[in-house]
Amino acid sequence: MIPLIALLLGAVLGLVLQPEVPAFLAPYLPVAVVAALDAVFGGVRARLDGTFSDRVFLVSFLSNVVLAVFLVFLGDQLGVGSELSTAVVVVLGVRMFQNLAAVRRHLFQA
Amino acid sequence: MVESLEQAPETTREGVPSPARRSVPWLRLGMALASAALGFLLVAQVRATETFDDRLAAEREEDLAVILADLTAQSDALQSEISDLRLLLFEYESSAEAEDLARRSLEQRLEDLRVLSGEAPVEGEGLVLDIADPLGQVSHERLVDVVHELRDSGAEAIDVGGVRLVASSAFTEANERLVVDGEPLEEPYRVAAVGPADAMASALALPGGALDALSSLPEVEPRVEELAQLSVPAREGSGSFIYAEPVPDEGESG
Repeated sequence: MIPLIALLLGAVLGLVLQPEVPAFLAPYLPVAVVAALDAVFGGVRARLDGTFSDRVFLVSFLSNVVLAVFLVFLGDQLGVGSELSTAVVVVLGVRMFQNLAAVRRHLFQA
Repeated sequence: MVESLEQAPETTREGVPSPARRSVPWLRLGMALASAALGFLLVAQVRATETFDDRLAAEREEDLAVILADLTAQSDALQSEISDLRLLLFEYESSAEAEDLARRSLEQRLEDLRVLSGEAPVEGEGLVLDIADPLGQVSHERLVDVVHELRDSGAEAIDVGGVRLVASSAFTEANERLVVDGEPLEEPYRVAAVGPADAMASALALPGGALDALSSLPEVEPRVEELAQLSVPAREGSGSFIYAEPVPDEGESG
């Protein structure tokens, strides 16, 4: 409940402040958001599995974001930034799909 | 601390319900902060991609280069298509113009040939020469001279006694009468010519010319009348050629 409220609070904050994304962050922000979303869906699944732990969630959240951003940054340095960011998004997307499928099985028993 | 962090994934991966953990306050706080950060970033990112301009601003440099190259290639292709089509249009227009020109020139030529062959009745400026010859003194040579003089001075269509003269016309005499293309002429002979009236009249009136030659004959009275409008009928019947066959038009004579 608290995370949900915090999420909405952050969204409202973003709407109110209307932050300008700095140019040097522009390539990394979408990947970071996708990684964070993956962590959140994983957390929802874990909660439904009854294995949720704030510690694991927090660690996976942070490590996901940092790892994804680092990979894209590395890719940028190597000249394959856009390809690597695509790869990261695809992998995270697949994982999100799996997590959401598990959530669906829990919620609808199907 | 490190140990428990290492352990946590193990327990979740095996799907073993973890024992009710003591909720550590700072972890809860961290989770809330993470969620808030996610919401914040999500909104920021969505807003950043809202408009195309923002999206372009968010693209990295090589992506921008690719987009620019794509758009440039597209624009180039469309430009070259435009010039191709313009060229095609120009070609069609000029060929249509050329065809029109050729058609008009052919029509003009057909018109000329129809006049020349006597196929077409003509009208225009010209003169009429009446030759009174009660005694039948005029020979066909005299008439040939008259026609020759008229043609030399620019006559374009000539009619003698109702017979249109063409390339194959001939004057003869039969039973003391003048005959043109098989048609006997009635006296007085009437020659009508469409052409430059003044020039034809003065050509006929040259000293020692056709008129003088006619006037010198007994009782022969030539009378010239210039007309601003004169009509000459078409030739009756069309001559068919039996011996003459047109040579096929070949590019070069061989």
